[in-house]
Amino acid sequence: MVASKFASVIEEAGVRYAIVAGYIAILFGRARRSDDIDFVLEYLGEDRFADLCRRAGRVGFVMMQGDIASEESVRSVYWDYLARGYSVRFIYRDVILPNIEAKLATTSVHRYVISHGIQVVVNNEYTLRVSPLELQIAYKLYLGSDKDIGDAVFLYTLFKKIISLQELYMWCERLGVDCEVLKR
Amino acid sequence: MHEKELEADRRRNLEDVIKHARWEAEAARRLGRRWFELRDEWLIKAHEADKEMWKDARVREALVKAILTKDEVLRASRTSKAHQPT
Repeated sequence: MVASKFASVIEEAGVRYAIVAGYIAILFGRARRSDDIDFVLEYLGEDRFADLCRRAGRVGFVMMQGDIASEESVRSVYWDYLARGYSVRFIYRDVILPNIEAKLATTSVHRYVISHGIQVVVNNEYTLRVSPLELQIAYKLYLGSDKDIGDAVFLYTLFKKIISLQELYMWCERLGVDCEVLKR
Repeated sequence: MHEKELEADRRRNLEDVIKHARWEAEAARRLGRRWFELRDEWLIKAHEADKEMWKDARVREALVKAILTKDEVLRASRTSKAHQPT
């Protein structure tokens, strides 16, 4: 609900994005909760971010680091957080958790995630763009907590027949992680 | 607890996490929509309980503060790492 609301705001603003991290495993059925839904947004300037915030504010989002209704505050958050590579959090109405954690694409991996994202149709009601699964599985292994490894195993077990193993191994090598744990 | 025992405990815990994640994926594939219904029932119940708690302005404020503080700590640690000589 929160993810689809934010995704539709971004799409209406003409901003490309992809959802990354733990929410992907949850979207595909993992039975756990998440504190945040991570969005990587294509690199935006201050004006486009202000436009996005205006749209988000209109449908009920508030910004945790500033006042979404104040243009000055939004622009200040842009320079203090997004432009420096940090994320900004948005809360939808009375839902504090999960909240949206949005950051700009500042690395080659972020840009890859956006350009190679896959579209997920949920209950024929809305669509979300998520990171390629091969990269996500490798990235979860890279993060390395028990929860992250659990997410990686979940996604791998669910999608092993349709993902590209070659691409998965390539990302594991690039991130310097051992993917043996997936097959144990 | 001895360090070796701790390590063995950690390993066992990870094995459980892996087994459970694999079981969940297989259940999701086997049960399809029914799995999502069961999972969502549990998630919605937990979420409703949270929302009840957040009605208290003090709880809400404390939670928001905790999230922002955690972000600031992460941000500070990233900044200080960036300033370390390589």
